[in-house]
Amino acid sequence: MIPFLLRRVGAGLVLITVVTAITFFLTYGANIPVARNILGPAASQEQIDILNGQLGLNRPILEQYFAWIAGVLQGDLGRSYYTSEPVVHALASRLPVTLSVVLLSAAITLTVSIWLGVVGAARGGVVDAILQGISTITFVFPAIILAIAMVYVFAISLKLVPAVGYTSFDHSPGQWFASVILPAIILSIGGIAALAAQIRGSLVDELSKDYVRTLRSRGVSERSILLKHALRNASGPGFTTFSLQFISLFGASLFIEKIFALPGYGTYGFNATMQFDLPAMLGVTLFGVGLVVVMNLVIDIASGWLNPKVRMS
Amino acid sequence: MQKILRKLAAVATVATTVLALASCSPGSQAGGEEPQNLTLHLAAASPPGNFTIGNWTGGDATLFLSVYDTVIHQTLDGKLEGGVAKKWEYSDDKKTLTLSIRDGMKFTDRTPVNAEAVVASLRAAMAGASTKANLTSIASVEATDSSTVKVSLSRPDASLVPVLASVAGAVGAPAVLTAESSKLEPVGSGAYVLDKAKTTAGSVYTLTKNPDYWDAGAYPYGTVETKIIADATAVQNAMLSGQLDATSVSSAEEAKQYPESQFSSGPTPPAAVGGLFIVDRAGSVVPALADVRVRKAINLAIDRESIQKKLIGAERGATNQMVSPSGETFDKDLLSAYPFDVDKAKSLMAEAGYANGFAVTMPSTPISLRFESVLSQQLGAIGIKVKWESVPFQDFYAKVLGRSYGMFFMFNGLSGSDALDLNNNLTGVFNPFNATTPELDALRAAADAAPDAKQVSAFKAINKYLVEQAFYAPIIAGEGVYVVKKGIEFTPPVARGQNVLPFKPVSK
Amino acid sequence: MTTPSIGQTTDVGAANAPKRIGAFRRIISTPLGLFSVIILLSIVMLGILEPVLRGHDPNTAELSAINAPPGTPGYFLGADQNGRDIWSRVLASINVSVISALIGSGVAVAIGSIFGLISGYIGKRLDGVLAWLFSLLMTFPAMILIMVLQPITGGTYQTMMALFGIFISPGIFWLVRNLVIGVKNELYVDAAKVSGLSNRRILSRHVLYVVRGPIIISAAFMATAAIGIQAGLAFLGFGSGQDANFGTMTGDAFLNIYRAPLQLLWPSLFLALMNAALVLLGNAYRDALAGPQAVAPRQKKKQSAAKLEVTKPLEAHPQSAEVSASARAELLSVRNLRVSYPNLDGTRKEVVKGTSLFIRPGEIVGLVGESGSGKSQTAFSILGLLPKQAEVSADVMNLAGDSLLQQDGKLLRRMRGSVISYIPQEPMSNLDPSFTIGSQLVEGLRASMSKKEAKETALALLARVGITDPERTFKSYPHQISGGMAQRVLIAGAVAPRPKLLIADEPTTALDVTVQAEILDLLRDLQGELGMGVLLVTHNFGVVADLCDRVLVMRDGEIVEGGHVRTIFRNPSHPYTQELISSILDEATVRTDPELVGVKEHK
Repeated sequence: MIPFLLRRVGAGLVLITVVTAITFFLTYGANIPVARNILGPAASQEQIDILNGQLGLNRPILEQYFAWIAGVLQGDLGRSYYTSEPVVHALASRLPVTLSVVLLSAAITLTVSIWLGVVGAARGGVVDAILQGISTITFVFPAIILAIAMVYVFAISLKLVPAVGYTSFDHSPGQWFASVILPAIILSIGGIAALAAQIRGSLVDELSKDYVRTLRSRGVSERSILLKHALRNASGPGFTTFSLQFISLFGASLFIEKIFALPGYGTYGFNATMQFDLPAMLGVTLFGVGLVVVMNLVIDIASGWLNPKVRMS
Repeated sequence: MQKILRKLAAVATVATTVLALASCSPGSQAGGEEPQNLTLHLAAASPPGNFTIGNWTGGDATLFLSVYDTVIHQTLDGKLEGGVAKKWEYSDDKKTLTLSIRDGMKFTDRTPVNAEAVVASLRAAMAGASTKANLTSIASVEATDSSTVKVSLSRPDASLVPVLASVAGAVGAPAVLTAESSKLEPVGSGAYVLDKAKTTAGSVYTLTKNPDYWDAGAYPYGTVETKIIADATAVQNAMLSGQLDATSVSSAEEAKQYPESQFSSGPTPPAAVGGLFIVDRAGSVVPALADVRVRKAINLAIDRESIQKKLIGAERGATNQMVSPSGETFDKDLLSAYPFDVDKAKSLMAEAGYANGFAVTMPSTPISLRFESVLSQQLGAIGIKVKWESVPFQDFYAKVLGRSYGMFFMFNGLSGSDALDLNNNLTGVFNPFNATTPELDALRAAADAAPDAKQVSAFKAINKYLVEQAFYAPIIAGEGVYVVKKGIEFTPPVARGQNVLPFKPVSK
Repeated sequence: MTTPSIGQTTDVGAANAPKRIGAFRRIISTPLGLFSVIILLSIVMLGILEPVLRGHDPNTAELSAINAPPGTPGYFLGADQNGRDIWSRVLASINVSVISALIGSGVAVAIGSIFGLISGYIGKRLDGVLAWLFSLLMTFPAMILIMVLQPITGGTYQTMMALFGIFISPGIFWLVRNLVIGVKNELYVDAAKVSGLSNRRILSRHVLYVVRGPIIISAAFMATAAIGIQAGLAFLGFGSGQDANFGTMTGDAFLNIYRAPLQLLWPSLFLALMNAALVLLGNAYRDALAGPQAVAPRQKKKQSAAKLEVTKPLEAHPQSAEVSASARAELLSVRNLRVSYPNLDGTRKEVVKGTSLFIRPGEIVGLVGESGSGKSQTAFSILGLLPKQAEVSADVMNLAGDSLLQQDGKLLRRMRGSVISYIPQEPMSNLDPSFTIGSQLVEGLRASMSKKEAKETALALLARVGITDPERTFKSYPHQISGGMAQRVLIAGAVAPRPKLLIADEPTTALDVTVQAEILDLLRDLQGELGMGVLLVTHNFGVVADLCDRVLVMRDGEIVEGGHVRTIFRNPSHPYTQELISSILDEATVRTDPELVGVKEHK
């Protein structure tokens, strides 16, 4: 288990390095008129040159890259070009927003998918048809349209939840929940159908395996076979799908945060991109990949723990 | 994107992207509560840059001008009155401006607001990237005593006093003026203080009332919270769900989205003039534009009335002048200068040797978007083939200043001062080729030096010259429409996005 | 975008190979498939014919047409708040969506299948490297990068979709790689290798051909994803706002929803139609490839699954010489057992054709035959453990005086836990890999005793079946013990309830020769000790000679001969029996084609 985890951490570090390097060289290397954008149209060339010097943008790109790496190693992601707020602070203050939505969404996805998958595998027929229906609908209507519809119904018409904004958990748990539940549900919709289908499929696969027949031959109840044995063994592929979905949840939170005006890291990234705030863009990339790596690790540990072969090696 | 929108079109009547919104916080309806406890919720489409004097680049300066007081104040109806300087006086040659600083004011760090502070602030603004261009006429600033500032000018400048009522006239505590901390922790003497604890840069900015402000009575709200909401759909959702109570929309038709039982709405004065800036008047990129007949033909080819009625859905607003239709410089008689006349336009083109027209590339921006096809059609009718080049928003300044385009479509905000507006349209991004004529220079110099009584006619002469020489092809100075939640009284200001003065709780 | 197991591969390969031409025809022969093909083609045609069909340029704002309602002359679907023709914009948006879908899924398919083919076919170290790279790519936070790299891509939807295609290519990569590995191991590629075809030709002829279907299915789903992402990005304001596309149309329409709510309908409708058609087409294609697997569930409902059915009144209707007169003394008696599976065309294939047999208490009966002869089917139908698709009928099926026919699931289960039990063929695959040996044994015992008793019983049983360190084995997971030990564990599990009838399905086939003998000894001992009746299913006459009292020879679903072992050995009357007996000596100990695979093919 330990060597396995070390390998995964290693792969995670490689992923982080590769992705941030690609982003760095593509963005810093693109000759974006950063100083002009910061200073506005009235600035003179002289002022622009001075600012470029202050920002270090006139240095060779490799030198800038190594400076950035050195900063990262010291926990310094630089400061926003515009607000001069340290990027680390900015991201740290936005992370709870995104994590609230994403984790809640992940919990919803997991719970509902397992339930649907199990019922689908056990009953077939109607539940299968419902699952198919849901997955077709979520494929057919892009999340954006569903989001608009749900905001209209729950926030504008029924006024059950706020249409925009975020309330922190410390401030009021109730308002926190109200502010993130609708985004979380919308984020979940796409994933539920896919994950439920995956779990259902894996369960059906497991149920056709030899050991299930043997268990049946010993008179073990169908309930135990399904919920204890098959589900446990089907959880491997389920976790793989779930971990991939988790990654896409972070991507999708970008849309959701914008529609709900949530001050999460997606909104931060969007603004940074629109302003060409390079340190902030890099910070968002680093955090994004980092989160993915951490989450994958958590999922690896969870699925490894479920699989005795991995656990005991 | 937002930066450019802010700068150029924050107050544009047609740009739906940039809005100043306001609301009462839930539960703080203007019922029995004391006004001091009321919260005004403002929202903006994009986060402000930083609060350092001389570096503010937003068009909507509400946050900035709530934290910093300005040397001069502009009232809601556009009049100039005393601010940090309780009065000001020009010398006879108009080359010395004397400011008398109000007594007893303090910055929020308890240091006094005195002549030295004003001098330091103006010097910072003179060097600042965003304000420098508006203060070029100042030769030097000195404090003659603790309550008097003498501003010496290199030339008379009629736009200076209005400029001092804008971000360029902001006064900050000398100790933190341009220090790193000023970016997010400004220290001013304005009506509000930026509450750092309740502010998250880029998402929420909370202002709390500065009780020591000399004109505190004019500001009824105890707290002003500005949310950053980038998405227009989200703004609409927030309004309709009751989280926000005010927005501005582009037409009365659009305001019908908001039920009358919950919202009230009304027109706002023109806040920007939109049109074609024919900047390459020397003909270096598009030679044809050097010919005044071609520029006139462009003006004749545009069906302004139709654009105003159909595209904007406004009652009025078509214009062929860059100054505000409600200002003194605006000339009604000039409106007939360019009637919609394709035949005449074609013959002018032929006269200029462009009977077969010519091709021109213009930048496509979110602001130009809805005008593009109309302009292509109408200019196409006289043989001008427009190619719209999609410009990443961030590259717009650099591209225009880099002289990439002979002309472009844009809105330029109206400040409430015709002198300032005319000046703005002839500088920076609106005059990237620095194209001028001796006649124009003479007219401008005369206007700046003109005694107060003759200023209006002097600026009218500039305006007339610009129209006759077809420096621009202005199209629309349409009114906007505000929508506020019941319970708030909104007085439409001449210059939008300067402060929260227009908002008052409805008194019972 | 899921990663199929290799198990699925064989199914697809097997179903695909002989029915090549049929796939597309089968799609359009189903109403849903036909519908989706027609919708998709119509939509694409609308896009292609845009220049002919559109009334106006999609970006031309006609001032007089602002918010024109549908049906306005020249504005089929009306015009938006800028006076742009919605019909023209829909057509233009279709093209944007189609191009997005083509770029997104095209890039993914190109990258994924090229590297998947290479990785799967060449294998070895290259496979390791590529697999690692693609699993890395799979975890890229795609949306963040598409967003952050917007300044570089210029925000055009084409480049964003190409980027998106790269990010989703691992889905295709895994699919192709696993399929190729599966196919590579199939006989026909080996055959092709032997016949001297070059690698490239093997790839193009066989492999590409097999992976084609699954790729098309994945591509259909990726296309919907690309269409959705493109619309979403445009809705958020990424990319040029000038182009008409469903994202900007949706955004415009939403801001206009109170003035002209219908405007939101058009982009949603066409987007939904296009995506629905793609999804349904993908599903239809999958169903077509999978063949009867997808059809089966529908028939299943009517049949109430694998429950036994009585075909005739319960009169004894002796058909075989095997049926003895003293039926009451029999532990198990089965008369006229028939098992059938659905075929592709809806007919049924009978795999057991009216078999009758009996077992007396304490008697060991061998059921011998080749693969596919129906002997395992017979055994499983007695256990009630046939797959759901199977249809079983019999005149009589009695066990220890109780009829197994028409029993409800609960009672059958109770009987399986006590009266009848089963020893499988493959020891490893018959233990749940996720639970300890002990917990699996205890679970079967818990019905009749406390947890503590169950544990003690299990440990005693483990000792009884010859496991030297029962405590340790009890705590072990299946992967930690050997095949022989696993079979002993399974035997322990089977005899735990002291059953009256033990059905052993090739109990030694998967084991080493030395272990085989030990297991047979163990079985004989246990049988003697417990006095069980045993039905020993095997293909090996040697085992029969070693262990059985009587033997039944099965072929093509029928029992061709039966009698005492000695009699049959000495004097086999049926030529098939003679053949089997003569092959004892040269038969390989390990079969390559276990009978259960035969069962799967008939599903």
